[in-house]
Amino acid sequence: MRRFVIFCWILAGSVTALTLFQIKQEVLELEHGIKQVHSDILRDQEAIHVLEAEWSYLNHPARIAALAEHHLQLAPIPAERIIGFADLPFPGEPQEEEGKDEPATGPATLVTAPAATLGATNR
Amino acid sequence: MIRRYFVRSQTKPLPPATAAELPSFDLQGGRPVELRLDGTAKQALETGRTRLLVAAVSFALAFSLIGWRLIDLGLMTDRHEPSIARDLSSGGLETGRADIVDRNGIVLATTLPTASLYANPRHVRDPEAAAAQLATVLPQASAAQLGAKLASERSFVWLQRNLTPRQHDAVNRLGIPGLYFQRERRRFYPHGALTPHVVGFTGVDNQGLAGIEQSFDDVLRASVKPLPLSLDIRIQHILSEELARSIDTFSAIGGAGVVMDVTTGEIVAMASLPSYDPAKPAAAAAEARFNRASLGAYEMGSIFKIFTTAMALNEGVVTLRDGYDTRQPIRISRFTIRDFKPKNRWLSIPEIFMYSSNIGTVHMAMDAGTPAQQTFLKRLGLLQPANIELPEVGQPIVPSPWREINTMTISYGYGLAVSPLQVAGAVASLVNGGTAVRPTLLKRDPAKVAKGPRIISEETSETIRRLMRLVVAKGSGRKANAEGYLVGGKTGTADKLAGRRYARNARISSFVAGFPMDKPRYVVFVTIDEPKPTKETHGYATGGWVAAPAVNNIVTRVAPLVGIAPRDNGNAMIEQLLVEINKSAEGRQLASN
Repeated sequence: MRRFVIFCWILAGSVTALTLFQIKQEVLELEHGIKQVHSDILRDQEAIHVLEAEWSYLNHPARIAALAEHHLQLAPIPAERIIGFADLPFPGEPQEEEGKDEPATGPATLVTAPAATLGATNR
Repeated sequence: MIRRYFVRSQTKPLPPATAAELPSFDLQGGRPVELRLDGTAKQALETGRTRLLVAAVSFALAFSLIGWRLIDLGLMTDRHEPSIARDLSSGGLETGRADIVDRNGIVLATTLPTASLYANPRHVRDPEAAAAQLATVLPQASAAQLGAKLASERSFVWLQRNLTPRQHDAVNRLGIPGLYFQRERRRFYPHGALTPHVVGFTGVDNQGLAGIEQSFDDVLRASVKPLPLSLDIRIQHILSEELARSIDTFSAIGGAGVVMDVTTGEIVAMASLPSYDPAKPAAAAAEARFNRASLGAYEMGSIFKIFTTAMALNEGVVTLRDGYDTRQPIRISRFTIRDFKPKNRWLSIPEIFMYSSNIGTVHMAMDAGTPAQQTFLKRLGLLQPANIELPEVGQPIVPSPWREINTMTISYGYGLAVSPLQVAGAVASLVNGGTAVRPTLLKRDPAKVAKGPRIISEETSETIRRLMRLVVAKGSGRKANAEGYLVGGKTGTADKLAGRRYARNARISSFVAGFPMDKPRYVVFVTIDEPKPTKETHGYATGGWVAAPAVNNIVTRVAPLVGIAPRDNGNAMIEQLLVEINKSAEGRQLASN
């Protein structure tokens, strides 16, 4: 009986030791992995940091302006082309050029008519 | 079990000497022999127990250590984990010096990793050959210099700091023994010459030497969070581009500009030209490094009439219906004060402002008196250095003693030199409803900005806005009339001091404007140093011809960016004023005839 108890203790001890060793190895491996992940993250963060600086450099307003001028057929909107909602004529309201009902001229007259009056008041 | 074994082993083998002496005679008085034996055994037993105790204690200690280690491993594992990477959503990368960004988060200054090349000359076998090879990939250094460094007796010598990635690679390819790289961090300014006067620059060891880099050195070192400035890089670009255009057109020697939010005091753009590259501050001329906007002090000329008029109206010295006879030049001691373009008649206050009459303004200042003028200018912050987060702040040049003649000349902008920053702040305080603004270069939350102390009443502020609008609609500032944005402003042209007298052909031409004048949001100040007249300007190089067009362009380009909707030119705003002027002018002319 006594021997059996001793045997059990020894067995339990060795099993514990083995398991502990096993866990320890796994933990080491995981720690190694996490270290790797952390250094990857750090490297990426640093790369992002550098890229942010480059992004800022590439977004220099003078460069953007030059690119826009070269590639886009857009120009700043002059103030007289923007009018308030209140200044828009009602859809039913008779307009000066009622005879022509080409859709293209409709918006054009809407925009230029108030602009002309704006210019007139300024002089 | 163990104890029994010990007892047995102690009692069984008896010492032979004692056993031989024992049996034959009973000298001990019939006492059993076992007793003596028992005594010896007992002693041995005691020793055994002590040893046992020692062993048990050491085993117990060992087991409790193991137990503690188990708890340690089981419950406190986090302690030994390598927690290197941080979540960056709340701040920036740990670089030893925080970034500086504009109000929209665009990076203005950042710290990037670089490699610096150093050598241990004792490990370099052939210094001359190594130097010759190095010189081919490091164009800044000569082979002779490198050779001298590599041949020295020291064990450490810098060869070149902050190599480009390409140079780094090239040096690695050479494979010269004894050369090493030190990982370093270096400050970079992606926008280069656009913001150096505000952002400043750092030295080779990344200590701030100018601008925000210097004044916030400690903060930048301690923090990882980017420091947001009030600057808007787009507006900054527009301002410096328009300044450069004016300087170029009028062959001027320099210029400065400020764009300020009138309610929060945030400086959204501040430029000083000529500018320089903050990456190479040593190569820049002292003139380029000089911040004209905050450090320079200039006589502003007629722009000061805004302050004189505001003071006279606010103190109740005059009303808009009053006026002065401007036919006679004012003579004081050996000076004569005249008008640039004399009207030779009685002028109402709005006319004096609109036509920029020196004589009328001097009368106004004299009626208000010297103490009132001093107090008013002091409250506007024009008599003390600007309170701004820059180390480069100029001291205003204030006359001492302040005589009557000074009161007169200061009323139209001579004899008191202030920085463009101070003018922008003072005008912002007048047009925003009359409360003092504190200029700042740091981004502010508009909801958290408390209103400053009141300087002029709401009504006076409204009147000043109308008068400034009048100057742009009908007066000397017509070239600043950006369509749809209700610009109001005042021109200023001041002859520069050359030695002890004023130069005839060297002047500083400026324009200060607010827009939109029905509800001002920004103040724009532009000053051009020594513009030369051109054919197009008919020989003029005044504020109205030089700086006003620049302000016009700036407003036209900036307003859509900051979301100001263009409106009807709102001449109703000044119509009333004009009617009043005409009425009172007619009345007075009739009276004087």
